[in-house]
Amino acid sequence: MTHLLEISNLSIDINGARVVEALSLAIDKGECLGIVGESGSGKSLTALAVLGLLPLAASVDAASAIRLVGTDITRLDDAAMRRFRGARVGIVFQDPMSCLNPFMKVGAQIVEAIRTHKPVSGADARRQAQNLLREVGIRDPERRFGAFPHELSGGQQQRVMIAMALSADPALLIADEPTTALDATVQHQILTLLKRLRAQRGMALMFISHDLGVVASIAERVAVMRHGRLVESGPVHDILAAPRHPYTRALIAARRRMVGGRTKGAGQAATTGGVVVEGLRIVYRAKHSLGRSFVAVDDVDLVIEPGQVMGLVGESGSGKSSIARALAGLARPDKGRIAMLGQEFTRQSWQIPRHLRGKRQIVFQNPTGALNPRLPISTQLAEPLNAIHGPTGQERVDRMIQLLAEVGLDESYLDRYPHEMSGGQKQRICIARALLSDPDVLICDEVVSSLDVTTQLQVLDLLASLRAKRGFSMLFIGHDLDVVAAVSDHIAVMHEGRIIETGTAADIIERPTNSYTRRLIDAMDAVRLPQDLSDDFHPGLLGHIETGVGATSFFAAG
Amino acid sequence: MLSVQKTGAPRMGGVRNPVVVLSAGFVIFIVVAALVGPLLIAHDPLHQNLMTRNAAPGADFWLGTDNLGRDVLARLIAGAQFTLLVGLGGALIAFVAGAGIGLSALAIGGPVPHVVFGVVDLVRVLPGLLIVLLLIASLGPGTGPVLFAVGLSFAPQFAYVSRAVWVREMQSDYVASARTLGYGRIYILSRHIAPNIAGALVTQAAIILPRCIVTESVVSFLGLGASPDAPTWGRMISDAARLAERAPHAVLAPLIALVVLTFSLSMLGDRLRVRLDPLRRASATTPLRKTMI
Repeated sequence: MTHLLEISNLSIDINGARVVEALSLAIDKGECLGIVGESGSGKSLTALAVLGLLPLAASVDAASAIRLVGTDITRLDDAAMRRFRGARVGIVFQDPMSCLNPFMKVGAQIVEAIRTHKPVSGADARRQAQNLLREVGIRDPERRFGAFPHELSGGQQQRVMIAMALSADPALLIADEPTTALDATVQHQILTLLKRLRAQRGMALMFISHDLGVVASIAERVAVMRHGRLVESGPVHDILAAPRHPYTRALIAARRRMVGGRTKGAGQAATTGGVVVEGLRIVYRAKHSLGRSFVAVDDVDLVIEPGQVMGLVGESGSGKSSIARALAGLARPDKGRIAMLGQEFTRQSWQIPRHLRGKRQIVFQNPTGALNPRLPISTQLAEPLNAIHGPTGQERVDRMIQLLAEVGLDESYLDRYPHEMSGGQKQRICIARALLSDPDVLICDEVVSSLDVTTQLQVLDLLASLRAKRGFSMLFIGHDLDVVAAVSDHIAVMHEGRIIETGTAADIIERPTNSYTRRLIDAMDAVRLPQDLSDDFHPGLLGHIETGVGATSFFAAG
Repeated sequence: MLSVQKTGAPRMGGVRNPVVVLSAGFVIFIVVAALVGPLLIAHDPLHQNLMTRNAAPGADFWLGTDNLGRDVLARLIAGAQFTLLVGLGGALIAFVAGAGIGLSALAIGGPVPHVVFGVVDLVRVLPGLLIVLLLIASLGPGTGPVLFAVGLSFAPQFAYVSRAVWVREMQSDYVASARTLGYGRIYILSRHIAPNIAGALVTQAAIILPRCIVTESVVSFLGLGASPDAPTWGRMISDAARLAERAPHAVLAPLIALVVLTFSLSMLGDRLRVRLDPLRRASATTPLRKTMI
């Protein structure tokens, strides 16, 4: 029997550099294949190649073949490819907002997609579009038909994208990180929708993600990619239970270790560094008199014991980062008070006194944006030392080198510029910069969200070991409840600017009292890697990865 | 290292673009001519000879003479010096005044930037030429006032570019990190904004340079430029325009020189803008995931 999609020996070059190397994959009718890989692994380019949408700079090697329902699409010209695309294969991308035309009503965009492929009248296309909207779970499709993209939520936008991809009844749907930009609860809904559509339509699905848990929840078979090569492929259960390739093992182990327990509690007998937040309210004022103000944080109470980690979870827009910014002195509280470092911060006095500079520090989500691209690392690391009138001359250099060593980098990094480093290295520099002034309070705002899984693990391990050594207290913000729970002593759950539940990490995970928290946990459960499978592992199999040193050196090589 | 990267990708509108190459060649030619030309040309650009009025181009006068018998080529070269001076000087004055006023206002903070940029807005809505004429009328004629007037009329552009970069950089996380440490606006301006603003301002200067030249030529054409005798291209065009039917070479030579030079400079400035476009770099720094609020 021939496969629905058969990629054989696919190689793609971009500007002479090989980005996909001799990749062979097959998808059968109605099957779901998951492709897992970190950024730069070539998974998205593979998807684009199947659609004939590779960037101009890319060229497909002559020995490659992509056979879709028997036709080799690498041999098709543009006109033939256009008829193929959409009719046989549809795609859903990561960020729905940037894929929808902001000036066109969503209904009209779906009608356009339908009429491109089918000779139907406007009224028929309209009816079909509304049926599609209903099929992808948009309530009240007649009304939503006339909505503009910005009037829809992120989840609804992604549903519209899926409806468009389905408009010509493709036999294969490619979903390229379709839930990565969405909140956990919405991700759960979209995954459920994709599963349902696949069952109803008997459609094959190529599901691309960096998250093994998400892929495991939807795919029957999984292909693991790295550096443009297929590392391993097979049934999901087999891969999870007995991964053969060390990289796959490392990927699974990284995720398990990340959500596994860490040494918590006060690293040292810390007495400083406690934070008390009472009745905090942060309002973003409208830019002009007619605009509406936005209450980002309302009546929030929060206590971080000295030397402990408070985890803060919630979806985007829930006010997590606003709290981080208020604690860091970047946002001015409108009401309430923040007591830390023996000082009160309120609306009237929210700026840090000179002698306390550097005692609270912040690490941001995107390390590339947090480092000035025009300055060498040494200059950027000098910033906190200048602020606290720290050591100068050789002593200063020694101090920087010592901290670089603590975050696992050597002194050669002092002369580098940010663009010469990887994302993980840059985040280490950001952590080093935050710790140079020896802070009592460290605010971590989604510090691992923009990093690859294996790099996430390294950064989390690094933070844990530094905290154990230095004993600062930490506010750890994240959207991945499992990761936050693994790092934090206590967790606060935020929803629409308020804290709706607080408790110890174990209590929140095991005995949530709030219905929103429960929904969040259910959504996480759905995409969690089955932990019990780890019992099947032969201890020796993971030996060199489970020991921290082996793991680090393995990942560093990549 | 750099050359390796250059040979790799096919580059649209790159250095190999023939228009850019020709533009660069012409600009270099004009600069060299302005510098060494006076040493090679036998004729004095100011020397009048009524016997050889409106002579056609020939062996004696390569580009002919004008209505007062002055050598067009000699005047063209002398004018090139002045033209380049106006271009560079005007752009420099616009750069210093615009960026200086804009950034100082932003660094002071509070209501100051609102007031200053309100005034800049007011100046900007007036046609640039009107401002130049107003300034020359109040400062009097001469090279200095013309330079100053032309430069000042383009200063608002630099103020706007400064503010755009300021606003963008102030939202960056590395500025947030510095602010967390208690650093103020002056420190952030000098340490973080300045290195990031330089490229944008230099690009802006390259775009403004040919516009300064055109503005000065228009002013000269209107008879308000530097001293009446000074051989500027604008004045040459103005003088020869009345006799364009009898001595077309006298008006065509400075006209073609002006058009080709400003076109070439604009091409190079545009090329520089594309090369230094911050948005191109920004695309490489987009985070993997949607930023969580």
